[in-house]
Amino acid sequence: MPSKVYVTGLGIISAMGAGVDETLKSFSTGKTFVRHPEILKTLLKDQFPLGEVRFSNEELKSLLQIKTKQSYSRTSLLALMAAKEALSSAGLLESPLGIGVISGTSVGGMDKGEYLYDGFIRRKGKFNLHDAFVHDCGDSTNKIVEYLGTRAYSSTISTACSSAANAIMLGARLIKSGKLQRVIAGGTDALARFTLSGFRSLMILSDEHCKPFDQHRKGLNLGEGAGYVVLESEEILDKENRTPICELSGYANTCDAFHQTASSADGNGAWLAISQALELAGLYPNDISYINTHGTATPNNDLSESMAMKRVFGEIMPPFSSTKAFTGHTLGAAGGIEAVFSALSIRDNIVFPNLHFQDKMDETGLIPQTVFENQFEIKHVLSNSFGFGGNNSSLVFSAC
Amino acid sequence: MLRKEIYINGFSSINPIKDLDEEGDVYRCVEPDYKNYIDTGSVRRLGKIQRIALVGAKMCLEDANLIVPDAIITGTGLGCLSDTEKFLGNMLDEEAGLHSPTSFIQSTHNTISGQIAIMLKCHGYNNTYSHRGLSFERALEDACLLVEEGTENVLVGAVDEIPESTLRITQKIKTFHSETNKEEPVAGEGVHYFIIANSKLHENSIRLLGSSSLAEEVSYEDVVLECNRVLFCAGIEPNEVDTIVLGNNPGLTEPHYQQLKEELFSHSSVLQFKNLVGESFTASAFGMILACKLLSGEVPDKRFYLKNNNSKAKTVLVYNHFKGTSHSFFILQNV
Repeated sequence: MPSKVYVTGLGIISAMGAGVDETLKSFSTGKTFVRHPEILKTLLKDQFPLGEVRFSNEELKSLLQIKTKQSYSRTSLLALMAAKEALSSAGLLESPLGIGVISGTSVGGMDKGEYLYDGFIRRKGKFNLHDAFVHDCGDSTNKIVEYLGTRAYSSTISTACSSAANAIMLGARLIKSGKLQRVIAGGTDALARFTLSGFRSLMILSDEHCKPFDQHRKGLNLGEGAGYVVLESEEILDKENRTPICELSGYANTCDAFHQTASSADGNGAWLAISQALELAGLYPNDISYINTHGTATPNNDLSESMAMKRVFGEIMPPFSSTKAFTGHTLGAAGGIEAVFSALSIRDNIVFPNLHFQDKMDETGLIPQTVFENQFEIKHVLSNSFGFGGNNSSLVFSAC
Repeated sequence: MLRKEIYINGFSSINPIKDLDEEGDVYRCVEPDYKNYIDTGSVRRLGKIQRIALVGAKMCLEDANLIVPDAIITGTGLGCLSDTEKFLGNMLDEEAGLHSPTSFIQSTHNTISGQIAIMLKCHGYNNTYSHRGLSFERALEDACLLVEEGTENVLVGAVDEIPESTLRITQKIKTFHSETNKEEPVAGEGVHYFIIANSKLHENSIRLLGSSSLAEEVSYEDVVLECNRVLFCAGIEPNEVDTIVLGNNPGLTEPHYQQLKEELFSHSSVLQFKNLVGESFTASAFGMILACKLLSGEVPDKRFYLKNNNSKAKTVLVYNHFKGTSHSFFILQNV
């Protein structure tokens, strides 16, 4: 019988703040933290509100006590903040040896790379050649390994918006197969002009605060951040007599295989991912207490995801919400940030609200949870992350 | 350690190898005859490396007598750079402008696995690893883990390209060879795919007996220790390894290759490959391709051979590293 996999630590940084406690306080304000950027230097700053982390790179380095002149992309600084908190909250910061690190990212060090390219190739503006070493996806993972001193297995996944969810899924599979006992898994992405311009070119950015699942939704708000969970085997928790936050009871990775940037109208890939994750968890749809949706507020995703949810849950739809109205869409970090939210949902019996919802979608008639709720016991949470290229991943967390 | 028997039922490689020795700063892929494998009309907007990857995937599936795999995994060190460079250029030209999204869409690392899935209508597990010099190794490990978990056929491979601007930057930071800096390896591109399966296709199928990696810069003793450990787990004595494939770059002083060849495998035939395909974060995948060719009875180009014992290859060890880090070992055998 493969070992169960438990969540024992949480770490997060986003527009809502640094750390779990600050994030929960931010949720209680009931207001979005998406606003026009102050740190990202972009000509589009007055046009699009973004979920920007309120710390500059220098401030992050200071918080992390990084004094070296080595290049750090913003993506890796965000990763370090969240990964450190996760390990600390699991009580493992002083004993990091042997802990696997699996991280997802889609931006990598592009926040630095785009300046390097402009300066070195196009001869416009200042650049630092050393930034070339931090451009690739693997760099932020290596920085986590180095900073935490794990000196063990590490890997980097890059599957757009499902990167972190896939990283967490891999972590669980490696633990179940006995290859690792402990893993830090999640993802990170920083804002970059490249990405902002890219999403704009797709015409899926909203110039207002996004409205997930609303009939009049106009698109997403881009965000940044990092979210990591510490996963541990049942065996090691039994041996050390420690109590986990919750169990990672199910997961699935499927492919929509429809179009590079659009999901199929009937949400086929999403339906498969949700169904398979539930099956692995040994759960029926009506066992789910809360769904933390992908809910980017694009016309396409929210319809596709709603259709998939209807196919799985039928008439008995659990409370669901998109927390992206608070944080923005953090791309490669989303699955990790939302895994943290899912674990908190179980730990504190919370259903997070879906901000800015006014009118239900004509096609589905679904109404998300619009107010903060903590009166009911949360037993099982489904978290969806659906990325470009049809990479659909779902995770199920369970109370234990 | 692999708990289940893992077979390689098909493989394909699109790479820079030409009849005449390549010269210059970079070895670029020889483009295949696209129309034999893919609908060129529907993929005309894709970047070159993505079109090549689609062909590589198709060729590999044909080799394995498969139409659709159960899962698709790609390892790529640097991702789809041509499209990245293109969109970056457009964005920097006019930051506030509205640009065509095509190259942005195609710049994401998972475009390759995604496009293959769209082409094949494959709804199974789909993943992309980008972990620098171990990108292919991580993809392969996941494929083997899937097979252990019960998946039948996994299409797993490695893709890396090196367009002009990236080449210039990597030459400047001395990662790769240039006219002014000849002490570094020559950059090379490649698309290599395998079908990893839980059962053999035919009597002469290839078995993947073991694989391992070491991320850091390590001593020769550590390399020997790990090499022996992987062999032991695979149930193979060092003297049973009749052929080794090494990832050394010709003419360069690099750790471990020479010593390993002379001390542990003085009895084996020795092949190299970076003299023909160049260096990249995923070059080790070609090492595995070469091992597969040998085990399939193919007689490789004599330019690969450093030492030829003229014996039929039965048990092959591949050892590669990327500039002293990201060491990997693969052990393959024909059944």
